[in-house]
Amino acid sequence: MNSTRPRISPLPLALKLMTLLCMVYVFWMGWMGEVPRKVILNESVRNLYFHVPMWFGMILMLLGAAVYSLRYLLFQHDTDDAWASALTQMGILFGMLGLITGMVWAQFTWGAWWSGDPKQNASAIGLLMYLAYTVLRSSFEDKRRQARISAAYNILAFFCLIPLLFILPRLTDSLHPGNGGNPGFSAYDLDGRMRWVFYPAVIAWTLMGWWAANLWARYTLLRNRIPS
Amino acid sequence: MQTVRTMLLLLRHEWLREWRQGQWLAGSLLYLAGGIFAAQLMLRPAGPLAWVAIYWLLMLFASVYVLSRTYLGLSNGLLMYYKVSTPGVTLWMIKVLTGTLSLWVLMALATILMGVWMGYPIQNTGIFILTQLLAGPLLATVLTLVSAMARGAANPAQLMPVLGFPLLVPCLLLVHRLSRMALDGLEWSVVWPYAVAMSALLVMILALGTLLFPFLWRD
Repeated sequence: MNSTRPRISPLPLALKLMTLLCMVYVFWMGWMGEVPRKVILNESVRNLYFHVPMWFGMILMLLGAAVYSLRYLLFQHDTDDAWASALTQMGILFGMLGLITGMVWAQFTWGAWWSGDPKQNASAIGLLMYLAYTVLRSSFEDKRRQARISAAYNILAFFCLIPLLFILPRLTDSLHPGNGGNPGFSAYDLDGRMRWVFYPAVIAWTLMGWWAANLWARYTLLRNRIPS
Repeated sequence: MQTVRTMLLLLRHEWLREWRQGQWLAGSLLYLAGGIFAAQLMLRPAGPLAWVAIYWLLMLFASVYVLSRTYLGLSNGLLMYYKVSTPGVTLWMIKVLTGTLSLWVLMALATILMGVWMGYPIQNTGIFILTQLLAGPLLATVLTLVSAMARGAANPAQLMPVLGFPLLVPCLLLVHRLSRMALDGLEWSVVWPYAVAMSALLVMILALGTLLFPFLWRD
């Protein structure tokens, strides 16, 4: 491999194995494990292992994208731009999955797919912001300019996302756990059994997203090498 | 001192350019008046909630129109002149300032026109004025940044709303909340937390813009 070419190293094998192990464990325990029986929630409580890690994953991925964008602005390495773009796209994917799993959960506990809940609205707007990032990226001919402008937008979007997701929903009433006087996740989990699956689930999904972003960033670098 | 002098000169330059061309603010005023007239034709007995919604929606569209001119409207020659003569951040500050001033003019005019054509449902005008005073710089700050980003893209006119609307929705939620309070004539003590939240958002975006603008300006 020519060392002057921008190159991103693949994820270490240990992390890949850990992702796979955690994933198998989470899926097995997620479907077959014991869960507390609660009125209304019933078996849908298992969604905790799939819906909530999506949000953790999305926030971490978008944070990573903002950090790589900042690094791009400071040092102008093509690898940082590829990382930022790939992480943002994975963040969007995780956000969409989080929204869909959340809507399914809402249908069976709150009684509607979409109830205009502040958390739902905020996450939909957050997704729109990052979809706009992809539109912005695709509308520049010049690669350097594209990378620079979209890095700046990415940082701006991340700073607009934080108040949107964490501060504004707290100002209004919400049905979502942990908001508007509703108890958070710990109140539903009296014996701590679910934590033994939940934390591995967060690790598994986040690593999975990181792995996918790594592959996608490396693919982008390879594709850019082909003269158009 | 030098910066202040530069800013004053730039402000005078902006004013002269506006005065001689005379189409920018006048065009936006007509844009807004036309929108309000169409709205009052369709919503003749407008409920108070609809009034507030129409007001801010029209302001959102008008502000995208007005502020897209800050960088998209510059000719290449003028842009070159700015680039060699002023530091980017100073120019950005001036653009935010002029954008804010013109938005305040538009907001005042929209209030008067809507008051005449559709009635005036606001019970506490003080809160409504505070909302407008805070909303002006917020819209101007975000949209000048977006305008600078969209310049040089293949489809700048489309990018303005695509990038601007999602970024502005958090601000608009706060603006709408404050306007509802003005509508219901609530106490000032209820208003302050939201006003402080809006000011904090404004300070954050101004700080971000100051840091990010040099990167947008470079070529």
